[in-house]
Amino acid sequence: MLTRGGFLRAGAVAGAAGVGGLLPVTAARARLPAPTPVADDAAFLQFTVIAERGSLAYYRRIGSKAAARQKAEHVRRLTAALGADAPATDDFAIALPARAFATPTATIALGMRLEALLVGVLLSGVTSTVDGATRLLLGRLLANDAQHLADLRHAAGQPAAQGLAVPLELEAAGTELDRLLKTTNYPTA
Amino acid sequence: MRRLIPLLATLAVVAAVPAAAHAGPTVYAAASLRDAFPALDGSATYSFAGSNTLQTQIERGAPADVFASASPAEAQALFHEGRCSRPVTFATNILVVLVPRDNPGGIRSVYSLRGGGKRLAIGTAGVPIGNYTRLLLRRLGLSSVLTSNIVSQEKDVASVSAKVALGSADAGFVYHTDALATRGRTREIRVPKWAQPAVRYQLCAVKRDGADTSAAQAFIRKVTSTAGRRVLARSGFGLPPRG
Repeated sequence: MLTRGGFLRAGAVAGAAGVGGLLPVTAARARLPAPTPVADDAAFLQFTVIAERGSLAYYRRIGSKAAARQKAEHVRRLTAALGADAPATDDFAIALPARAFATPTATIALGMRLEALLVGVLLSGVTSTVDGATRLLLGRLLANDAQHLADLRHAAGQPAAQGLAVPLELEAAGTELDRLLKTTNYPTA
Repeated sequence: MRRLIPLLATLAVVAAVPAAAHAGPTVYAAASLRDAFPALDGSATYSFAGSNTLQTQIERGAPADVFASASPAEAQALFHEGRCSRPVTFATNILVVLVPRDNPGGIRSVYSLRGGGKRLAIGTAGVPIGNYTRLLLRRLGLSSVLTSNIVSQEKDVASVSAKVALGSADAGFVYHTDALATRGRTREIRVPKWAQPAVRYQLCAVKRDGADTSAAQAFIRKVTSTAGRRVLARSGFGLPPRG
């Protein structure tokens, strides 16, 4: 039986695991090279930073503080990597569908949808980006987001691991992400 | 002398005309505002062009009273040079792909441009529409379309939309408002929201000897008023929250 409490506990476990996996806890990790994206590398960073914002909104909405903290850290790192091209906070408004929070099952399904998008695009990014440090950042985010996805699957009563992940094209993933977005002051005419 | 009276009267009227014509401010505005601003204030004298060109003209002493740019960069630069008041954001926009009505290039989405070989019109680097287009393409991972297609670079967004409307280009990157202005001859294709650059229009009163500051301030108040915002919205612009 799936309960909201159980799901949140699962999120908290993922939070703890992810913090250890992503945040710089040793001097060696602190010396990781800074991403300097080349040409279209920026596309994966851009998609991911917007999708991670969606994911951050999701974890805040369900009250999973640990996971939200990690997602905020993802957003911070991606924003730094994008530099001057990074979208400002008020450029996009995330509009998660209200009905997705009507039942625990629907809530978990939305989380899985977001994390699956991230995992697919990050995997695609790892195979396509030119700059090594950008690729490393995407790989680290992939490891962490795959943990979140596994935890959500577990909470949904599914096997946490479902074989090999498949890379997702930005075009297809973008169509899915756009359904969750409002650009600020987007003309309506 | 009696004969001279009508002539003097005529001269007096002629002399009065320029005074009446100068009742409004001289407004230097981004080309994408060419339809909205005259609808908003018919008494102003307008000069429409690429924002970067207008910025340079103002820096060289052009007789502008108001400057409205299609990105914050130009207005902010003039502000930091002490050449205009603190800019205010008054409108927003989005980028779209514009194609001729009969769409001879068979372009269905921005990703269709990956195929290459199309005639593509974009703004030059430096003009806001050119900068926004390049940022959009980087964000979509489509920078290569600038080399795989036959690209013409235009000095402002009006030139890009004219080129598409005339059928001299298979596609062009313009603002949504330009697509509305040429509908009938063109079709717009929306681009993904997640990659949209934030297009912000800013407005300021130019500081120079002889500037009509009160007319400039009145124009700015008119643009940012409820009525002004209604005109901008009717033209397809987005509106920032009221400051």
